[in-house]
Amino acid sequence: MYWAVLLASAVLEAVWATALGLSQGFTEPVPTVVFAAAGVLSMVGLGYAMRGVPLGTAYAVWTALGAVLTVAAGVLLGGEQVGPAKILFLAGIVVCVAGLKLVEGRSAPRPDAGPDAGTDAGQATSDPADAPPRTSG
Amino acid sequence: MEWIVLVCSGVLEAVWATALAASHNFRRLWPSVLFVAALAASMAGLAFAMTAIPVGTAYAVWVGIGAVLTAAVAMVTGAEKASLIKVVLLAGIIGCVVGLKAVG
Repeated sequence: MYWAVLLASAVLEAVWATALGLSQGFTEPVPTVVFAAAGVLSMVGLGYAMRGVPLGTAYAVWTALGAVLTVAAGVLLGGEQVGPAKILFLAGIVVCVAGLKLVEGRSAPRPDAGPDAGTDAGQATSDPADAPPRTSG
Repeated sequence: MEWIVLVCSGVLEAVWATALAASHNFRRLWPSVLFVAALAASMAGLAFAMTAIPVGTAYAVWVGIGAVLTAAVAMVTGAEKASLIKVVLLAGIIGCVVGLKAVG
């Protein structure tokens, strides 16, 4: 169930990014509403999935899948031009970001809520209630 | 101009992510205010950038810069240990962003 929500959240990530592009700088109402709704749902879903999927893994999957789907949507729907060099650079970003989140998730001092793994600078004294339950990892 | 705004939006992504963590589930006022302001500005900047830069490219660059900065801040402040693999991955993201700008 956690994984299903995680994959759905990644799809919603691509949905909001694509809708944001279609909104023409928030001037088109329908894409703007879709952007806001999908953006909120994507974050909520990621937060939920992180209760059951290890933090680094969850964020890596969410980011990587979201980026790949966004690029795919751009090519298929928006006529975005991609050549070999561009695909290489886009794939490089996806792989490096996912790898970074996996490494961070493994070395993080404690789990944290939200997509901000490892950004919790100097907050080590926070109370344990801030940390979501973690079933594996 | 759009590329400059896009890079700034990526920086703001790291700001809101860090503020979100510092807000402790919105129980602290100023980090919460900073989170909302940075999130709104980041999204507005990304929307502006996407009017000229293809959506997939803009999104990937935005995500990449946000990830680089959040990781760099965590390493510099000592919240996370620095490691060779992290530095290599950060350099990889920066290299790919520069490459995208060059071919885009």
